[in-house]
Amino acid sequence: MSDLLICALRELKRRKLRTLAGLSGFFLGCMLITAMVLMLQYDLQAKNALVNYMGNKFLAYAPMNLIGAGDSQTARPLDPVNEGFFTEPTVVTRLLPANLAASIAKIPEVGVVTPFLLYRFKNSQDGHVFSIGGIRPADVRALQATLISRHDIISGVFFQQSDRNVVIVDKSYADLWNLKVGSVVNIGDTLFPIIGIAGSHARTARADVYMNWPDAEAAISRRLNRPLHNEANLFLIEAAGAETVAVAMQKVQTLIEQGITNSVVCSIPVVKFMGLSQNTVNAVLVIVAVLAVLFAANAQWSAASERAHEVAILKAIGWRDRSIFAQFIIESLLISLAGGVFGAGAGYAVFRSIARVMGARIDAAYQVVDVPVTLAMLIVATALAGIIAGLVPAVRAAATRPAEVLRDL
Amino acid sequence: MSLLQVENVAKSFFQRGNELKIFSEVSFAVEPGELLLISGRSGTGKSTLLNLLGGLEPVSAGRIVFNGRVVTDLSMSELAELRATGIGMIFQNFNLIPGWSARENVEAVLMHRGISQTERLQRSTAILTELGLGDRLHNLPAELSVGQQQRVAIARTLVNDPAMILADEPTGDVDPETADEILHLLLPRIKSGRTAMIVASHGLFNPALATRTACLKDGKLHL
Repeated sequence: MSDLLICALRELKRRKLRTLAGLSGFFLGCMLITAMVLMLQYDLQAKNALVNYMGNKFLAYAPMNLIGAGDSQTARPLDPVNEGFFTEPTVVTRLLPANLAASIAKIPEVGVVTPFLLYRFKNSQDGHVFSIGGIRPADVRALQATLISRHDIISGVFFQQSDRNVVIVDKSYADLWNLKVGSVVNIGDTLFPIIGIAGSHARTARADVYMNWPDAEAAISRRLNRPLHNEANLFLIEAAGAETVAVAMQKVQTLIEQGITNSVVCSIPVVKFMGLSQNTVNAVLVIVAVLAVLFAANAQWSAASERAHEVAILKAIGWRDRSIFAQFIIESLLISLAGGVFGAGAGYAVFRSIARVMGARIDAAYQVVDVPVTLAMLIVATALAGIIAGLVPAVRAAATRPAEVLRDL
Repeated sequence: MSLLQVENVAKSFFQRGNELKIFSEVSFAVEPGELLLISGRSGTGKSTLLNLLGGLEPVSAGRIVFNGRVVTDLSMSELAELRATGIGMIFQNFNLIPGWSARENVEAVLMHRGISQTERLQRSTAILTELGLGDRLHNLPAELSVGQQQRVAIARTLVNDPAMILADEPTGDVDPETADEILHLLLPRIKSGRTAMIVASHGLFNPALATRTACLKDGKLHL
């Protein structure tokens, strides 16, 4: 092995121009592939983050049939014109047992679920209509995935489980009514101090004012013909994955009589689009890799042709076929490996530069987590490409018939 | 048993489907310390015969036995091993690798045989110094005179201390003085019985130096 390495290094050093040409080829090829792979990977990751954030969430509820609906057990608002359980945009909903969440959670395609009370209130002082949302702060993961969590608080604090008679308001509602942390909100003639303001961004559902579940139950119960008994009108759900959201929605729907599940974004087309991107990445990689191998094979073939006389001499003085073969492979491997190492490094630098120019964020939120693994894989792939490229020329060189070559001189 | 036995060897080439017979029924033996001169006009097959003896080409018929091993039955790998250890070849046009220095050309014979680089360098330096090229170790062939190039080729052959040397016009391309020098390098080794040599020449080699002569003519070897 050391002999092969000594000879290979000696040859590469001796044929500087050819070595440089081969190295440049692998360098450029690997640099392009690295930059492309990282950019596409980043792109996919960003899309994946988007899909994970929005695409696998949905809500489940049962709409109220207002005409002739309801029996003596049905909870009815005292002011059905202005108030009631609803979901956006204007769907009046029925109450369902809150413990249905446990049954929903058992569906394999469901990741997390939390019940939600969403009720439209009329302010008794100025008559404006707003919504209150009753949440269970103990459902930390589900709330973080679907509604609000401490990460969404832009001022003040999030609920503690034991907090009572305090509220968090949505920023848009706070801005509209000039509310701040410490201000109070009138809900059913009871004043609730605001302990936090939540940012207004896309959520599976949203309310103007968020309350701890017991407070919401109590406030809403005072506006109904009967008190609430551990009931919810919405279930906020995150599927186990973007690909399983459709199945999860279907299965949840079967648990609710006349139930409806509603996805907030077109998650399924997005997932399909991501699949297309992944296929594009693979196709581009295969094409570039094949081109790189062909380029390198051509260069190695030329080298083998040029060195036919030298190979014939070496065989005439006792070098075995396998030594000649290995010699060519090692040379090709060294060139491709060096090209791969420098190319991958340069490709990463190119990727960072392009990302900087395009203003793409490469931080904790959009981290290209597989950089070391990706670079290592690309270097190994480039080295393998070098071996593959060197195979045919090496076989040709090893098959040289010294007598014929030396006779032709 | 002789060092080399050649038994009824024939060689033909095929060109466009037609057989071109070079020679046939070639038989002879060589003993250690012997210098056999094979003469003949150009194109009679002298170089081809040396190639057969060195295992560079297969015979069309017959058998060659070297040191008790049937050369004509050996695999490519075994033939390479034989050339690396037992048989040294000196070519008419030297066949040095142009991009390699004098020492690297000599060292090449010792590579891929499990010999350490240190030993390889020692042995190649020693033989080149012995042949008067101690100050030319790092010169490329193109930087050497014709005589020096031939001495590098001889050093490459002798570095292995082969039992037999096959030389194709070893003095063909050099002036008489250089030819004399080359022979003075080789003959002592032959006379000492360390090695045997077969020289193929079309008349430039002094027959008086040979222990035996043979002539390749009309497809037959005349001893």
